[in-house]
Amino acid sequence: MKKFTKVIMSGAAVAAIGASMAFGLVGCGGGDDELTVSIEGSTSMEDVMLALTDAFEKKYEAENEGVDITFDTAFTGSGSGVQAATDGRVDIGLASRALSTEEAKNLESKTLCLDGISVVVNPACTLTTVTKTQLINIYTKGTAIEAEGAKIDGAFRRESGSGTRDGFQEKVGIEDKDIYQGTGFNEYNSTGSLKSAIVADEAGTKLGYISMGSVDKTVKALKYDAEDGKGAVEATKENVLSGDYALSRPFTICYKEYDSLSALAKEFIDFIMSEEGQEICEDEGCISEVLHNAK
Amino acid sequence: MAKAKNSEKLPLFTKENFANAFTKENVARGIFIALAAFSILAVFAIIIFVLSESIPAFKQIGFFNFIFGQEWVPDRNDGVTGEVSGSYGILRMIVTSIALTGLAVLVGGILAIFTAVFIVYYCPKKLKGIFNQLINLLAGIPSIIFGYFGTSFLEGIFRDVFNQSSGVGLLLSSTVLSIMIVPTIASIAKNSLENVPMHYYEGSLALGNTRNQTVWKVCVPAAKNGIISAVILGVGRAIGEAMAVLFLLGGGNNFPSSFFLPLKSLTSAIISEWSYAGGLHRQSLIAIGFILLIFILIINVALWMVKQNNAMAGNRFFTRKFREGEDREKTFNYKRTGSAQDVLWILSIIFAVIVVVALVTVIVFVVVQAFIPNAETGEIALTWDFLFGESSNSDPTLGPAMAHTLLIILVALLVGLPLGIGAAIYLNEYAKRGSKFVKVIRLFVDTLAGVPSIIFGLFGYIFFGMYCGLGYSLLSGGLTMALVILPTIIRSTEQALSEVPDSMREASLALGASKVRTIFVVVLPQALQGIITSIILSVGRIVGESAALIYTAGSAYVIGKGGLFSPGATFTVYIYRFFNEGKHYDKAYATAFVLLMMVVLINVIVVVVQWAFERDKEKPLGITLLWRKLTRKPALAEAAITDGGDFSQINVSDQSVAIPTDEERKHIDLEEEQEVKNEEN
Repeated sequence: MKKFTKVIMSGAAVAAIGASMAFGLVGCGGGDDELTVSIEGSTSMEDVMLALTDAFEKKYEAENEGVDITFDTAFTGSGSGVQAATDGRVDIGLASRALSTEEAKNLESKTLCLDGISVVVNPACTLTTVTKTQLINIYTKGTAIEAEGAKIDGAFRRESGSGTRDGFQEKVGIEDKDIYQGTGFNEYNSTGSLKSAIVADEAGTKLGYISMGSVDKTVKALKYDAEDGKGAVEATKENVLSGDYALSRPFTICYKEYDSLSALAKEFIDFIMSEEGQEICEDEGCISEVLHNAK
Repeated sequence: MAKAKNSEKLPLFTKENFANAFTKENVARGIFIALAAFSILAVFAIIIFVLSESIPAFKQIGFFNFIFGQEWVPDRNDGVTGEVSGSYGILRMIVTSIALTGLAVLVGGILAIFTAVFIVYYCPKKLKGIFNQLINLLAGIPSIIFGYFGTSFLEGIFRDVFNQSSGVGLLLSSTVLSIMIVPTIASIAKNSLENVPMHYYEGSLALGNTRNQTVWKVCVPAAKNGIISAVILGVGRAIGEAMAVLFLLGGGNNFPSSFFLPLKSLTSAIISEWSYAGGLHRQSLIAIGFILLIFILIINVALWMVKQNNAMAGNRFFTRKFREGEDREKTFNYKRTGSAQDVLWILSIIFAVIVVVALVTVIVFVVVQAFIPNAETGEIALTWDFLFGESSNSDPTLGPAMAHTLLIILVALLVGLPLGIGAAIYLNEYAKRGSKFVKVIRLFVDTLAGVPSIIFGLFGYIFFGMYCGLGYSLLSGGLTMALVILPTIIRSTEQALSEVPDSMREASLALGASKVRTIFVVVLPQALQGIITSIILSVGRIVGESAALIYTAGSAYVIGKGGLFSPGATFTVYIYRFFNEGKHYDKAYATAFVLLMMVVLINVIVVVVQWAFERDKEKPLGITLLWRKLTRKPALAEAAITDGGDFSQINVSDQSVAIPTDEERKHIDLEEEQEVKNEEN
């Protein structure tokens, strides 16, 4: 009898664990319906994407009365966004860089707009211009930049995988493996933390690069000389579009297959690529190639 | 008995047997075993799922290339299959993590042990309670606040004082980390010091030793096993810390050959590169997590061995070494008539003061920053509207943070409480003391408690997010947090259950109540204090958590329409986002201030609850009696009353005749000693 009880009890224990697991799994798995578009990806694209979703929601709900649509957004990073789109967990993935060849195998993608990259220093620094050679030397060999009465002895960078870093290094011509990593050459994992490090550098001895949209009074953007005969060019939208200012990166949207998306998701993609959507991107500080080409 | 014998001859699976086996008692027992075994399941699930996601990286890179490779140059074109063009070697990160942990534990351990000795033996009685609360408060401060305190405040000071180009690196991160691990080490060292039998202290004094000699030569060595455990736990805490060191290490892939070289540790690499990583890069970050997990498992085995030693009072490697050392020192020290111990006494006071100063500096820093007006608008971010106004993505307020935090707490407690209390009931009420199964469960509960939150985050992302398809959602975050708080609930409930006198169980059983009923009606209400304390501690843990939630609950500023299925940021994730976006520094500090106030509030609630229950034990009128009234089944109540016995009376008489424990006696003795001293003065 005792033995039997033991057998039954251990059986019950296993069953209970199984049941709790099953319960857990049933509890998992959210509802997906036709009135929701899920988006995940780059933190840098958050502002522009939210402006686009807000505008679309307003427009759609005005056209279709009584219909309530939802955007499930998660701004976690380009890698997570592309991964989620590849896994089919979200409708649209966002990457603040071009897709890698590996990623592009399974996904369709579009360039939503461009984002300029500014080289910034503390306003206390007297430097106003930086050349391609200077940037390459400081980022790969740690060579200090001494010009215009300023001495820059350290350069901050973003973490590997960051779209800003990819865009910057690709355009300037710096390889990941050559990066100099001595004292004063720190790595930051967000625009905000890099910017605050530049702000804290009151002696004005460091430089770094951030998205053009994040430049404000607390930092100073430098002119960039790409050494292509155009001389030092100011970091402005117009110069990015004309191609004179070389430092920029694409904001990319990606999805599995356009045809397999829900009607709502298709309509949303069409909206953001339309002139109306692109104007919103411009308002948010991005640079629209579509509008530029149309003109 | 006769019946049972008869049934043995019958075939095993009969209707009657089933009916007999599925009694309420047996079913309940089975359920409790299952709940207790859940911790084992959870630890294995974490190991298996993190490993399964790491295998592609190990295969592609090669396990030894990964561990012993020095270059870390991820290439985003590297897929999970195909050619590898980047370099993925983590040796420098491993060495950095070890150096950082070593330094932090060395400094933090010394601070903590001296502080613990100060609190137990030297602290004036009136200050003792305050000191204990300060240590608890320090334990409650979220690591993200330490991180920003380090970058915004200490970094500049280090840069100027040491005349360096940049203040980040090994020195800054180990300084902050050592303060962070003080509470972990101090609280356990304090417990083991308090458990040193009082007659050691008295005996030593009676032999003519001074108080300082007694404390440092008799009491501290007697508590050494506990102190070693405390230090090992500190190692686990330090090596797993991610959020704070992320901002302080500087992010260069170097060997820690200088104090100011930018570095990457295992944890900071994961948290820093996670969001943009894809393909092989992401898999290799999970593989770093797995290596970290192996470190944690090794630390737990070490801890377990120390505890085994303790249980046997035996002398395997650890104890023997220490004894040898002692013998050598003995002759040396006695010649100098205790001067060394007097120095240690002064040091313990100095170190305790340092800990308090560090805590106060962090708090003052956050408060001051929260009330500095915004440079552009000239306004303070901490307004009524920021706290309770409607939130939008362009103008976020703390309303959603509150809602998200509450929902995550709700899910975590709904799942974690039954699991934890059930496991504690099994361990204390059903299991044979010292049985192998119990030992295994304890080992796994301890292991679960030692798993760093970043590993929980990775596991939650893989299991709840990917396998269950929950993605980033409050539910996923809540379920992950249920695992995080499980050990806390099991431990403190078990502690509370073990303090319920056996006579109460015996009385209940003697009155004819079944075991299940005894547990739920008699024992559990008595353990209410422990359960409530564990709930509050769990809430504190969830409120301060960041690394585990970013990967599971996501980071949305608004309340999603999908309820539990939508993503949501808690207070800590808010701070992280505010800083990362670089637009709302003032709001980040305002949120940090609110978070700090919540941590203080939670600590105050713990104290109030404990005080209320203590008072209740002396005069059982309030909470306990009310609880009994609400929960007592009429039949049992009648039985109790007709028997002329009320449980509250049993409780009271039981306590009044109880022999004071060693701890209580020590308190009494210390007080008397203090009085004698005062008179002498």
